[in-house]
Amino acid sequence: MSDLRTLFSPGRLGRYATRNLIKYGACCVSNYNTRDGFITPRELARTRVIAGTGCGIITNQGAYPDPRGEGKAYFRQIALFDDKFLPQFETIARYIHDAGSVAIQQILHAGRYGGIDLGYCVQPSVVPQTLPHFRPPREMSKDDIQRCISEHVDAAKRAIKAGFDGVEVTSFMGYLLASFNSKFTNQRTDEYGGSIENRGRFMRELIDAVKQALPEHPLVVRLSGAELMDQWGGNSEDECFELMKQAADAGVDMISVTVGWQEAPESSIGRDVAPGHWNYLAQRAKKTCPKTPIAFGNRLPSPVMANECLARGEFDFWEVCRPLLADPELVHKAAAGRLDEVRPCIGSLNCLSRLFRDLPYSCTMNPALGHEVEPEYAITQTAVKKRVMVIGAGPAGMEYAITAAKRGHAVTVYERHARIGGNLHAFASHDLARPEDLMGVVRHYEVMAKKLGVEVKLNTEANAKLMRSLLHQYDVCVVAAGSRIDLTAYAGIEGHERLVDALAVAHGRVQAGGRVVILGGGKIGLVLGESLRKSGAEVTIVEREKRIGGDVMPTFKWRHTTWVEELGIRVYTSARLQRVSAEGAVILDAKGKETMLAADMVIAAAPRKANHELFTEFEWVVDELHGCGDALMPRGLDAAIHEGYRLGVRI
Amino acid sequence: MLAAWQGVLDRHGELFEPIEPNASLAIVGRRAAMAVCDPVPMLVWVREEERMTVRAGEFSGYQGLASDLLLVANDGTMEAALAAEEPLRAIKRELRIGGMRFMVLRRREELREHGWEDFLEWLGMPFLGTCR
Repeated sequence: MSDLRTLFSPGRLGRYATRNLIKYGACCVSNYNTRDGFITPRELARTRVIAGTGCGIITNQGAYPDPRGEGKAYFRQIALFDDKFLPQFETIARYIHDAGSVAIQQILHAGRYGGIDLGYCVQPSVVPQTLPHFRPPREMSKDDIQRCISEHVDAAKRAIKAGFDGVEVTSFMGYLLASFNSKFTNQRTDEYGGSIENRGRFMRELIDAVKQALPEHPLVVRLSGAELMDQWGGNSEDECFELMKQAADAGVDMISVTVGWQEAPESSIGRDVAPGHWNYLAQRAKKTCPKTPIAFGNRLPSPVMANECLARGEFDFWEVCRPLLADPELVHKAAAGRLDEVRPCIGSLNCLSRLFRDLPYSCTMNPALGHEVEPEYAITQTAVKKRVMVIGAGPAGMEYAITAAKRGHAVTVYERHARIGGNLHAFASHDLARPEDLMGVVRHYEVMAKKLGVEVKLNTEANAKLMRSLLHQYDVCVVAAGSRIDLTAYAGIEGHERLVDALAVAHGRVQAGGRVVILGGGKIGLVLGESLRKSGAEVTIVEREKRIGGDVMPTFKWRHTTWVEELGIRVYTSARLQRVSAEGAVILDAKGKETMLAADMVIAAAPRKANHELFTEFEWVVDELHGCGDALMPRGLDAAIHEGYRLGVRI
Repeated sequence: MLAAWQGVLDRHGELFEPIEPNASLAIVGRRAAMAVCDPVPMLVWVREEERMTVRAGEFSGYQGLASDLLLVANDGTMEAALAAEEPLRAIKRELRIGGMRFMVLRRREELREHGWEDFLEWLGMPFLGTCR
């Protein structure tokens, strides 16, 4: 606590005192609700957990304000255009107040990204979308603008009626107000377009209308410090700050500074952006609007860094969301000096990936997120304490082990290598984005295993002989032995014995360099290829499918394809290996054309095969035999952690 | 110019194979790319039965455009791309660094029906959405 004194000092938002300088930001819509905008028991259970995070201010996720659904961006977004929605909002406001926090309701009109059920969206001008998953635009008339302001005011009044202390409006990410502010999307010639004064008029009128209606209640506006659209004709950073000044002068009680539009061609919150990268925008906002509280948190996942920024007066509130989805106990752990126990947000953006598939959001690191309403996902004390052996110290095995230990079981993990982490360790050491983030997962398991008394036996291979020596010592065996590259898939190919296993290279057991051909353009082949190319190797990737990155998280696919281009990695798709020789690899494309790829080493990075042989070996030597993660079927980190947890809460 | 681009498209015929007949992509200079403007020359890549062909056309604003997609190029970018060793890869690179921008004139379902999904993914445009 003493190290984070500034973060935990009291603050103020309008007339409301806050117990600390932490604002839970409504960074994502959960998609847990009904198709027609009603809040569900699933959402209420999640929100109760969020209310208990210990933040001084809690912002509830964005509700669209119009009955037509023009503002609705997400499949199951909540609505606030009618009193019929109020009972559940009242419950959420009560949860937040009961937990001692200030309650803010966000109103989210998505504008350019809205109209998900309509087949069109509304904008200041007809400027087509630059991404295929949005709807064609319609221009708003002046009457539409006035009606939209009135709907925002009505929604704000409803939020206050439900018991919220204040409201937040959204003028960022390319949403409605942002599209008026931006000269990329605003090509109007009336008083709402043209000069920056005119472009900001809608935002100022809306702020003024809400403040006039609710003068006693704080109004927060989320604004871009950088749109990252300037190359496309959007606002420069100077213009963003001019608009921020307009909002402050219009009387907002807090500005929440954000970064990037959904259409921006570069990263803003992904794990390829270093923590603290955007802090300069918050500093500039504070200098631009010194009398208005500034909240900031984009790519700032660390409470320690946030505390330092607050102590230097760079901004006034740390706005945090995704790290609290990964670990709702983050603030409490920080307050108690137990930061080493925090389950880190790794910026995989799994949460947002799922939203674009119209799915409820989930979190790679927190398998319980979105399942708070289901008792089956809670960690409860076991009725029968069991002796459990876990085979494999990768993410699936370790997640299972710490969950089982929390329930009261006695857990021993057997790992054949000298460290925990499994293939994640190898993957992280070659990751061009943020290896520290992925290694944070490994460190978390190391810390928690130690704290929970999980015994980890390294350099110990689990096999039939070991099991015979341990006969009857364990009640449960969990096979979490991961997966391997299936070299037998190449058995019929001339020269297959020359192939090198990608995991051997990734783990550092084989050194690769010079001219390298990698078979398989999935995540293993891509990460290894990028890393080898960065180290100076000449890399060619050969993929059987039409596109590379088939097993990569959708939010990160573009990142790999960009790296492949930037690094100058040659890619052959719809191609398969014909033969391997000392000179290299011969491949065959879909049209039957053979190509010789000169190489010093040919690495097999696909296909993968589950290490599930132990299921057969152990079937008759232990009472309960279970499996999880890639040992069942090769997938990825998300499935490994989630399955480990689900098995942990069950056995 | 038309003949040179036709040569490029012919060399990359496999990229356009899934595209339905009559589906098209227009290319216009950035200075002309406004909601409404006087007619200016543009290039149009149109899928015909046998191949993707290049035609000359006139751009009068987004609303009157019959194409599925519009590439808006900074001055000189298309000429530079054509002079590059691999013109389509040069377009891909320009899209990434902001020398060109992509505009979508049809709904996602229509684009999929017209066979653009693979080509857009190849260009690095996330067809099913992204967040960065």
